[in-house]
Amino acid sequence: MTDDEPDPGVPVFEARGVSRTFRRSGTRGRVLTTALDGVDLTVRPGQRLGIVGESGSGKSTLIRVLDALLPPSSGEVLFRGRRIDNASSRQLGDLRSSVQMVFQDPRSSLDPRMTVGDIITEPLRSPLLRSRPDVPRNHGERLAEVLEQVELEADAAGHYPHEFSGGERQRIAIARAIAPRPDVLIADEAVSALDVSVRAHVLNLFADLVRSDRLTLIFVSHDLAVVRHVCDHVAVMRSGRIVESGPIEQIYASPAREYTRNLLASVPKLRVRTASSRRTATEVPDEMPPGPDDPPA
Amino acid sequence: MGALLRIRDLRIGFGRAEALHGIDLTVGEGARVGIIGESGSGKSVTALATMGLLPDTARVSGSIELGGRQLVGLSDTGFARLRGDVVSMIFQEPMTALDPTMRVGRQVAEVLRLHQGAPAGRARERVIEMLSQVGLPDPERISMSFPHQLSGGQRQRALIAMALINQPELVICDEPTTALDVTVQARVLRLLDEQLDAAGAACLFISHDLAVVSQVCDEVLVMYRGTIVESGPIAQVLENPQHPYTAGLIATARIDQIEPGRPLPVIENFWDGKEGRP
Repeated sequence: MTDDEPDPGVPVFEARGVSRTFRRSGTRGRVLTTALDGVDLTVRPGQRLGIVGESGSGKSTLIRVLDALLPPSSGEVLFRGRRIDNASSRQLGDLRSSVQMVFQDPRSSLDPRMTVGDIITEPLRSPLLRSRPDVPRNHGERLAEVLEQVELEADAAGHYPHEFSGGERQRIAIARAIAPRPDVLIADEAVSALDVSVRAHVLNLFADLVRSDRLTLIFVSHDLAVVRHVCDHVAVMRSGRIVESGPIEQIYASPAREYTRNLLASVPKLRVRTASSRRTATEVPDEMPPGPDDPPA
Repeated sequence: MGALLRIRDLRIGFGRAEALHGIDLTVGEGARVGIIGESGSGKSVTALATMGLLPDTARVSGSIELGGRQLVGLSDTGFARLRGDVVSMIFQEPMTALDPTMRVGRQVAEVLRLHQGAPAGRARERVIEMLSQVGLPDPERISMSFPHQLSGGQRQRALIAMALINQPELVICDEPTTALDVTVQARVLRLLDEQLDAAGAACLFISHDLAVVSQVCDEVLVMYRGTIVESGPIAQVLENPQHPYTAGLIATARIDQIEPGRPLPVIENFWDGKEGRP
């Protein structure tokens, strides 16, 4: 333990009344889209928070605001008790060195011209991270360590991303994210582009890493059944708002909102079609019923 | 029910590599057959061969018979007459499957005009009717929209309208809902189910997701590295898988039955990739 060790009582992230609007040109002139609408969120150290919702519900915007990749239009964002919503990039050193991200599509998130070894050790060469005391100095050693952690052969380091399968590429992206020993891992639909048979591998890997490296995890997905296996808490988003949140098992077992129930019912399950079930393939209503807290369209 | 699509000993090679090692499959009239397998198992290559969409460099041998007509060696013009009429295809990525510079209504109408020679006014009427049938709200407006102005689910509905407007005998779906989120996926699958029934069309449904296949199909073929390792009625395959790879696929698809905190089963728990390899 060093003096720099964060106080366990201070939340890792805190969002207070965070809104974000985008201006874009549509067919009828400029349109204002509200991606986030007054979001309050607290992420505690060691928490494994799932953020679920349909496309366009604001999940990705929220994590981009938390990671200071996008400033909020209004509201406050704190990282370990310090405001980051109006901070300059120089003041974001702590955030940049402690938080790493894993994206959806490892085909576009890995530089095709770099070897796997260079990709994984690149964050270690970043000036923001070099200054941190616990960032591994010996890059070769750390590379070997993380390759082993994500169950890739040591000689993978000399190859290029295109030589690997989708699941292996996602493990490379994870190895890169954990190389600088972050405290927080943010995964944005990290298993959505993978084959179902490969998904279990990567989910098991997330679970193991969070346990062994004692990470705080923010896991974004449209699939509640997937989130249930890596998270202990969940926030359900719709139209830029958090409409329901709490311990995952509670929400999985008895969702309070119809929207959440629909999200759950939509997850495809193995079933045998019978003549009588042919007409009722799924019980999901055609359009989501509007919630009482729905913003007017 | 007679056989609509009959594939025998189909082999497809690219350069020195063979992607498909001689597969047999039959789709009866109005039947729903799923092909399940991981990326690179040869499921998409099978679909593309049936649609005549393989690159010229592909070597194809064996037989693909559709309604008694041999498709292997068929000319491009021969395929053009079939595509969109007797057989149509729904692709994974509707944004790339649709022409971004053409209004949606015109794209759907094009399929109709090419095969039915319908006059523009009548075609337009039929297009609006079809767009409304696939559950698109305000079909007049949608028909005048460009693909980028629609959501992913709406684009996929437009593709389904396009694939079904000529009432084809066979619809090939290649991962049609993989790019969609779960709620939109559930709605599109239900729509597909209804529309296939209404048209009486047979379906060859390709997916990596066994749960999705089980929502739509009655029979399933399990592919692995260019061969079919198992096939049969879906109930039989799910209840009593014969190949360890199939058993692994079933286990990985059932994550809702695993207690949280426990490791999820992976294929390797069931199969080392060697035993029972054809």
